[in-house]
Amino acid sequence: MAESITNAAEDARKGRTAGSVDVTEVDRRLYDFTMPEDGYERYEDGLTPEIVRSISAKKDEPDWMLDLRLRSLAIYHELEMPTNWGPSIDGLDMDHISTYVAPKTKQAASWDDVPEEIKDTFERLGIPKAERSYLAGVGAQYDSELVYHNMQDTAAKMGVVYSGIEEALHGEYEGLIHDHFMRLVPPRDHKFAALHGAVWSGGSFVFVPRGVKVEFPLQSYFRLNAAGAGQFEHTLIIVEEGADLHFIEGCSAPKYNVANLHAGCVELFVGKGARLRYSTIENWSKNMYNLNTKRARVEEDGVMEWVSGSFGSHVGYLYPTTELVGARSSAEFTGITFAGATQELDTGCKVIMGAPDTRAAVSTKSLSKGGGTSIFRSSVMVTPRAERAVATVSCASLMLDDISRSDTIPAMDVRCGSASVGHEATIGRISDDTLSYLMSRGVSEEEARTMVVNGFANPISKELPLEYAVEMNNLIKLEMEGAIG
Amino acid sequence: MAETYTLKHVNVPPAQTWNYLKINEMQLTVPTAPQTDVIDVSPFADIETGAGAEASAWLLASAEEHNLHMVSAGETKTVLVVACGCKQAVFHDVLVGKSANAKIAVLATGKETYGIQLRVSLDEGAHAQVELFVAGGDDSVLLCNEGYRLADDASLEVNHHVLTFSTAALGTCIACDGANSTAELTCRNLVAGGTTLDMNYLLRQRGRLSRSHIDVSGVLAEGSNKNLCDTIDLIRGCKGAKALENEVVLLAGERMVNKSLPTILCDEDDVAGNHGATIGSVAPEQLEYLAERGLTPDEVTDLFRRSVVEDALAHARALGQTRAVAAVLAASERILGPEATAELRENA
Repeated sequence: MAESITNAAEDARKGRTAGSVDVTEVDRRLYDFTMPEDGYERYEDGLTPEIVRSISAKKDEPDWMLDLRLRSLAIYHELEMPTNWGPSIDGLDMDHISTYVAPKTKQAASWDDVPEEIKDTFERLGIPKAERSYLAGVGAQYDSELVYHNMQDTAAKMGVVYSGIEEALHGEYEGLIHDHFMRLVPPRDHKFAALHGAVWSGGSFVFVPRGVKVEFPLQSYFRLNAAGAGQFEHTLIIVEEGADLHFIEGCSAPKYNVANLHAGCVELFVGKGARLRYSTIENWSKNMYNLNTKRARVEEDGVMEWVSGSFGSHVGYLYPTTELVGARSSAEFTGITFAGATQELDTGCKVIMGAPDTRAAVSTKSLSKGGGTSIFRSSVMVTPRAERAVATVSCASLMLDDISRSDTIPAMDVRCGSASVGHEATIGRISDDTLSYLMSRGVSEEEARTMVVNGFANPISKELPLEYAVEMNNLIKLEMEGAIG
Repeated sequence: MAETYTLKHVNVPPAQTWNYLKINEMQLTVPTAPQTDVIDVSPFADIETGAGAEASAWLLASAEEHNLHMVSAGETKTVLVVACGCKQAVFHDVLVGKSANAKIAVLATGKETYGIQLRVSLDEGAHAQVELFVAGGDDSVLLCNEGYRLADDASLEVNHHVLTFSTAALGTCIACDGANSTAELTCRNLVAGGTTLDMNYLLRQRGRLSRSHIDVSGVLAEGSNKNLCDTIDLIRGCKGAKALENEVVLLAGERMVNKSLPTILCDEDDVAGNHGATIGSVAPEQLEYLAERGLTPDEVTDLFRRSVVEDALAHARALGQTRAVAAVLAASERILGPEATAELRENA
């Protein structure tokens, strides 16, 4: 029987501090290791203007950034979370979250210069190996700061910029960042966008000049090691006209019995005729509240592709959004969500079609098991200007036992007579006939179920580079352990 | 100026979405405030209705009388509900006994603001067919609130024919509580320019092996507003249940507002739930094909409109209700014009 999510009264009965949750015992040794925080700088829990000013001062930011932070803090306190939709975040208490934790190290361009225990962390996660094998560049964030950032010379010679965003703020790109930072996701967008605006730290800036095709992906990896802490990285990517980039994002954290928070922000600008693929394998631990915001704006003839695998977090709110503002621009979203015991994952996507001849294709899969709740939530808005727009949304949900839950809540708002929108969704379980067939060929029931689930997830895993597809399949395998009974 | 009251939470679906989409509820201005001291103590009080508690309170307070119809076990009976008034509501409860068969014709032909509340309880093995004809005046504001409860082996067929109105709020909740219960809810609608149609259709499946099907199709004219929340709720325990939702919308104009929220809530693994929606206009190649056969684009759209009217007429005639037939023909005059309506009369 899955362990249940504790509420405040249960916390009190068991003598836990506010924000603690039970976590299911799943063999996650690959991700579930912690490093000591000796010598780390850790700001006090809570959210005050003094903390915000300290973060800004530490980074020696331009005045406009401090101003943005303080305005965001005010908006955060003003806004309320909606109460009529979405999973409860009652277990998240900002008075028990530290918004800044950092190891005592500077950002390095060589793994040899990264402190041993941090380097060991990323070695265990396979990041340096991946970089050597097939990436054009890597950024690694540990708690609140980037500890490593590097890019291949070949990419740099093409004029590609891939650096820490804070580093870029102090150079020739300050103006560009000013013109784009929190423009797609303004602080007033929602409460946790405002929180992000106030306390963001770390993250990457990518600029791909006109016509440049980056052959190999760039990757950022986010590791949250500290307990009771938040990570608020900001990723800003600008792909100019005719350029092409694949960006991969990965994340993980060890499990704790207190809440952690991830409220990052991703802003993507896809120029005319450009293409950007943004792939994410999200594997936060099951004490994490993942309230991430991702948004892309696509110009004429531009293409935005999202590939998303959500496996972790205790509570997730995740809806990558694409604004198709240029004629003939298009968006594709392919995603999978696996909600296991103690998880309530509310994921999906949004598309705003705001120009003629735009195209959107959404294909998602969700699985729920062990008492988990998976909610697919989407919105397709076709504005009056989106003449001849075409959108299709497809969602398939598989329930792996009779104690889990799966909901689909897709919204469509169509305001143009020449648009065409189609939607389909299915919910069900693995049929007995399918299991019987596989088992009659010598496969155990557990193996049969895993095979079916892997097949179910295949349309998503095949969109990822092989190594990430392997990781995704491994994560599915981990989740499927104990799926019988 | 006459006093009015705004009902703030009408047609609220059980699972809501982002508030900025403005699809989670409807507000409706009514002539009088709902009286909170009027309590419904009937056996039907626990039947959930689609438009919600606030709507029910107003309808209960605005109805001149509370009508109860009994269809005895094994009996076949037709019930006629007529709402043709102005600034008032009709309130009807129907009990369909064991293995009985009920046909319920509901005529909504009122003026200004008016309402209908209909609750039907179906006993074991009972069957009910409900036909709603919305053919009100061009200034009419209709609040129609329905609730159904099905026992074991009961079956229900609900057909909504939504033809003429200014604003229509239809809230329907069907609870398939019994094992092997089945429910079909069909809506054919025409939403004219400047009018608003808001539907909240909710199917709650609790019974094992229960079956449900929601099928909504319609034509939206230039300047129209349509909001559809249809929810299938597969509740724990409804093993073997199947549910299907379909929506087809023909966009017949350049600018309109069409909002859809087709939702499946699933708390049981041994079920099958599917939904599909298609929203668009007649394809250019189809228009070309029909143009070669002498049809203009407006005439093509009229064909679809006519099909909705014809369908309503066929259902009204099958019921044997002359008032229903008259109401549909009167609406047809306004939709299709006198010539086309004369043809429909002759084809009877």
